Amino acid sequence: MSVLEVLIEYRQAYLSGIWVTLQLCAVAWCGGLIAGGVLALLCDRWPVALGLPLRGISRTVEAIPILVLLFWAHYPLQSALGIVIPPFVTMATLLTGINLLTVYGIIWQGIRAVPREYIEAATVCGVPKTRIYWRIKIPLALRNALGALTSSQILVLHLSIFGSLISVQEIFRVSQQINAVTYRPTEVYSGLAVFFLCICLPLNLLAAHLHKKYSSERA
Amino acid sequence: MEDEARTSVFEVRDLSVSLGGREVLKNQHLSAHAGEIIAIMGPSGCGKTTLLRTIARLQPATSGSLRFEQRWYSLTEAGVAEPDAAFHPCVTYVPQTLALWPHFTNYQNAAFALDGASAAASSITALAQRLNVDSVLMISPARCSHGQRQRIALIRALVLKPRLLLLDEVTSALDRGNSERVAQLLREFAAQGGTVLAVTHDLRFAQLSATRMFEMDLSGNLVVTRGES
Repeated sequence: MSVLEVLIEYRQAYLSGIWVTLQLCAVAWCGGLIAGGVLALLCDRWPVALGLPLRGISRTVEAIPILVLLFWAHYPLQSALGIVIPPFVTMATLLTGINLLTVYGIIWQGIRAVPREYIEAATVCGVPKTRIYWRIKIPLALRNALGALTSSQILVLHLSIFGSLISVQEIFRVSQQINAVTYRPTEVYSGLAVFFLCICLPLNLLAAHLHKKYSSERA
Repeated sequence: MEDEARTSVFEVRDLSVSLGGREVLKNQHLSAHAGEIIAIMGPSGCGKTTLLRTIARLQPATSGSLRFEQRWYSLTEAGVAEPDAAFHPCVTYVPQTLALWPHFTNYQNAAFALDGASAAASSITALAQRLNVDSVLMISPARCSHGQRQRIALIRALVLKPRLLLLDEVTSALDRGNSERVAQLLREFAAQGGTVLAVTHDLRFAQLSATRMFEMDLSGNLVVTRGES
């Protein structure tokens, strides 16, 4: 049984796994990008009062493996609170939180990396501060951040496979189930690799292209 | 002081600036009348750019004050924190780095501060034709040579119709012909009542355009080399 045959025979299962994975990522991508972007703007406004504590939280979360966070969120936390949350919601919330902290860090770094001379050039031209912020600072910050943002969203996709550990029916768990039936791990996981390759390779190329394009455009 | 205020466009008094613990400028005085073009030359690192940035109120001074037209401004830290609309863009500055915004085309760079003014398009195009950069107006600054970008940055400043124009090495990458075009344009700007304070290493450009020339030494002192002090 070749990889192609596995993919064809279990296409329904793979598709349902892909669908769940994409749903997980859609929540984490949208939530993380929007909330992270807003947080970055707020941190730029209050860099000490908000920026420093948030950086501390971000560094702490980064230091803890996602697996540990996931088990905390799925077992002890829910037990302590006396609630039961569907695994999909737990995973989506955790991924969103992690993505939010990553996105805020990248965008805030992008904002701080906007060369002061661009802001000064607008100031001496008499451009109001609000217009400078929205037409000069933020667009340039996003350009600084685009490459890293794209890479971080690929990472979210990769992290989504940890959902299998709390029984989320995403693509990795589906692959495990197919393997349990077929006993063909090479073909089954190669099929999984094809899925990740199809999504991540173009995104990686896009990230590299954006980074190269915008890092060479300073005038 | 009142007589001086009636005749000169700007005046800097007792200007001292320290950078990284080193006193770059010490008790400098400078003033200019409407229609003057002042060129400041001198070795690299002597404080020419610092002088321009301080007058543009982008950099705080240790001490000193600036009068522009009838109003006095403090140049110390508190004085540069919040530039006001009465100052910019009446006083505008073209930095050596040019700082053209890379996400705009050259035309958008020149027109951005005009905020949709109807006369903008024609004045930008006319200036671009005079300075030989009309062919690059619709492309990104990143695709232009440094000399082209220098002229675009100059257009961005001139279309604002400033009364005091501060220029930092705007002809450093220009060939002789384009440098002469810039000098001619600045003479016309001055003839209409504008004042220019230009830092340059280009002696020919300075001789072509300036009504007064200063040499700044490494101690940050200004010495007149042409015109009156």
